Amino acid sequence: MATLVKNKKKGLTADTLGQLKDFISKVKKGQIVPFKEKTERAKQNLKKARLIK
Amino acid sequence: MIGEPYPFLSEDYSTESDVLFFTFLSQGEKVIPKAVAFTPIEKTGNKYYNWGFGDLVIDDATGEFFVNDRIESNNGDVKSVFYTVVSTLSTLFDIHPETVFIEGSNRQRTKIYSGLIIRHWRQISPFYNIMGFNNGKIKPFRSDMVFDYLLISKKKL
Repeated sequence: MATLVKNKKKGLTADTLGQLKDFISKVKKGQIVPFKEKTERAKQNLKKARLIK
Repeated sequence: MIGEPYPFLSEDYSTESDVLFFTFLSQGEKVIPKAVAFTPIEKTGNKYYNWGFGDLVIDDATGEFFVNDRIESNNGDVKSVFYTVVSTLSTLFDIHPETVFIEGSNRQRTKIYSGLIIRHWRQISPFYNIMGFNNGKIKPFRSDMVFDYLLISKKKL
């Protein structure tokens, strides 16, 4: 796993920006669901608190 | 708004998945892409949305981005990042006036979120109701109480 480290204030390279746009596009299409595990954990917590069934 | 947020790189709402998704660039010591998402927890009855926030990092194995909400980037711009993340809340409430669920990726982060709420209570409390889960019960937010998670809803003005 690599954190993106770029020169200060220079932004992302065209390649990285392209990858990022690809990721965003997949989220938009529903191919990637962000925070899926966290959302499931939240659901269990709300069930335990009887806020949802 | 209580500070200067970063501009969003993208802002998308999918009616199909009901996911509201933002990206922006944290521009502190490094330039780090960040993601904020509201994902539906429960679509029927009482509606709740999970408010997720994390760094967008590239998986070395696949070469593709994924969201990492456990990483501590310490990029020196926590205030701007906080303001940017907070600014997404009004967009969610414009689409759905339902309750938002917040839990940090660990207990320390949930405490940090509580601390930020306490610090900005005067700006937050006129517009939002904040409850928290403590000792097996949902209770109104209090600065002297440690919560497992928080629930934010918009006040009817």
